[in-house]
Amino acid sequence: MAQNSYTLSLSQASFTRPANVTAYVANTIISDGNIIAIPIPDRAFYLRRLRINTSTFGAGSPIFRLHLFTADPTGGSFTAVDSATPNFTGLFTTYEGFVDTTVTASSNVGSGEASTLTGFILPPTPSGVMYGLVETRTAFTPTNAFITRIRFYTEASN
Amino acid sequence: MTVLSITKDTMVRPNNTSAYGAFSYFSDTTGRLFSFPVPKDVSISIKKVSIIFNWSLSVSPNSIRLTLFENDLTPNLVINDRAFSTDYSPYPFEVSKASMTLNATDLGNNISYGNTLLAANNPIEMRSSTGSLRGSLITFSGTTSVANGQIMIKIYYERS
Repeated sequence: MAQNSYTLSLSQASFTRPANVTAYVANTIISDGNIIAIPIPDRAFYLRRLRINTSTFGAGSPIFRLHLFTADPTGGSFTAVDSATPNFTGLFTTYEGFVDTTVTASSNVGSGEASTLTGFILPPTPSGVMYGLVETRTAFTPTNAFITRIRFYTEASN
Repeated sequence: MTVLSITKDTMVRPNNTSAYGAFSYFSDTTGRLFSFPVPKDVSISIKKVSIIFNWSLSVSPNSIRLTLFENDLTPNLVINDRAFSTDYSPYPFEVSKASMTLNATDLGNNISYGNTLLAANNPIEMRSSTGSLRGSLITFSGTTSVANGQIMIKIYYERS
């Protein structure tokens, strides 16, 4: 009997937010000014798990929303400016959805995981990366210049 | 061996800004159904369906109902943009294969997005003899529109 064959992969990307402790209001961008580029498989794949870690963390349990694009959205009306409100005008054809993750403090670092992603399939991209943008859905006060690391746990059919 | 694939269709709604009433269809000026190319006479297992609008829905999240058929029901099934939806009971039960709710959330700045993820033990299995699944789209709530607004539906599926 034929067996299904999959390749499991782990990839990641990280960025450093600005050196300040200015509070974020809800629905604003957390960024170093650049779009996030996360390596992905070269064919359609399941995103089985998404993990977000930060190098330091304060109080609160904000929800981080990772928006995903199949092409670099930078340009036009879009910018990845920290603390700005996301503007997706003109990005209709490359938007691939979002994943929400609650990030909580654990021994002075932040961590969160979205693991109930059964059936969350993403397409391959010409550049071999999925482009991402983090938006906080809830207000919180950050620590200075924390590093955010985003990890994809993927499963692609062979 | 299992292969993951994606099929999609984009509808451009009419050039007006008339509001949608509750339980009305989204369509274009031709009144067509959505059309999704798939392998002909091959069983597929749908795992995820997503929808994206290039405008901000005034009701958010908005329950959007997608009904998928294995074959085209038009012209017998009349689809007109903003028309009140009819039920499907006059049509053969076996062709009305699946309905799902896509809760579309206004993300701000001209995008609304929603999806449904189908559990591993509850996929939607379909098989088209024509190589094209068809879909009708209904909003459960009255909502705004934009002229020539675009609606894209993507179906992510597995096949052997």
